[in-house]
Amino acid sequence: MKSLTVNVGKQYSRFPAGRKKQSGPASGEGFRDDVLVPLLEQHPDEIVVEFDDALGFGSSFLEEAFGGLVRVRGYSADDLLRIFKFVSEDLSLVDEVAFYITEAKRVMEGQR
Amino acid sequence: MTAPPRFHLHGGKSHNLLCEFLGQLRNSFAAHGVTTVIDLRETYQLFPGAALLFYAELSRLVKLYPGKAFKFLKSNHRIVNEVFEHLEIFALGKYYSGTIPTREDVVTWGKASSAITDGRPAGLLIQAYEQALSRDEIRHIFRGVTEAATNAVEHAYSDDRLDGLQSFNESRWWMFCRETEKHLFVGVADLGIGIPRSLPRNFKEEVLNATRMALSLGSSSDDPTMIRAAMELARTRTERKERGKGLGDMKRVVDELPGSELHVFSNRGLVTYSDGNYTMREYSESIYGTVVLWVVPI
Repeated sequence: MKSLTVNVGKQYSRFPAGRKKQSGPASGEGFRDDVLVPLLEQHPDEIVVEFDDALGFGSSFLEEAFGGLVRVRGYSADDLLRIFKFVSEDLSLVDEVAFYITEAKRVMEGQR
Repeated sequence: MTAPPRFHLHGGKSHNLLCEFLGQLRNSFAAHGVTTVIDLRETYQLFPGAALLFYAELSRLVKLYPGKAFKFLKSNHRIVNEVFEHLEIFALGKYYSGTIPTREDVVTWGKASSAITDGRPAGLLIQAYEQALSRDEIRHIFRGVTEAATNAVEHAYSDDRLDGLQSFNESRWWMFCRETEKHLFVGVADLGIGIPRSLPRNFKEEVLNATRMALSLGSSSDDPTMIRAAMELARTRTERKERGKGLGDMKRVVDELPGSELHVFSNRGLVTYSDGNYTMREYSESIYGTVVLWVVPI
């Protein structure tokens, strides 16, 4: 099984914030396009995303990073939920990230 | 111009006095050939939200009018001078009061600012209080603060501030923290168009109407109602899924940290959220922007 791991706080930013790349240096869009998409393009069976070395996460960052994979980049929400393994001591954060992926799927289906 | 005795945003009289003072300050900076004198002699008390608003306003004016001559008359109360020295507010006018900040209730103030959504300055400031905060508290406060900064950068400066001055070409936010024996105060301010003006740009009229009706707010569009609607829209389904979650993050700090409070001042309105309850207030004077203030027990 091909498994990849990304630690947000150590490999991207300890201070992730904001939605768009143009708004700041450690945005959700930047994390999505510069970190998550290149990992997904390696076609792994699993991507482990470790959250706890970052100071915290706002909903704008999380929605753009993970919901945006479905909404903007066209990935299948079901595939993402199968591939990603989210790791945090804050279980509500894990649920929230999964929610943004599911919600993006619902929005996309509503637009068809 | 004479600064108010108390820098305080909550009380009606003190709120309006501060707003009038800030209006005079703006007019004075915009006037050619006039040296602005900020007379602090009668000022004896500084509350974090009001002090943050003043700091933001003065910082903006210094950037808008870089050659402007202005000076301070220091306060007759040492604590005010200590705070202004410690936060480098006097330094904005290249003034030194001769006061060295030493008081415990002064040196625990901290500040940060940026014109982009940069979590680093905000995060480093919050981390400075890590001895008073748990990991969970830091996480929730960082979340609320970065969303307030995101709102400032992405929404607050979408139009003219209507304060009569030239346009400010930065999407800047300012942040204060203050630790007391029992509480940590965390404030984020922007000097943009305010939530009551930005909300209709992000949501359709029918969505706003439905939200107001659901909240039994009627058809009023006064500033507190619009702030309250924005807080509700942050957690309800909207036609634009990727928008409007920021105020939800701000409320979540309060939901997750028992005993804490959220105060959202925007233009003429104030909405306070604590323990699941809201209170609303309208003032006669506008702050021309937004101040988000959390009070967290420690």
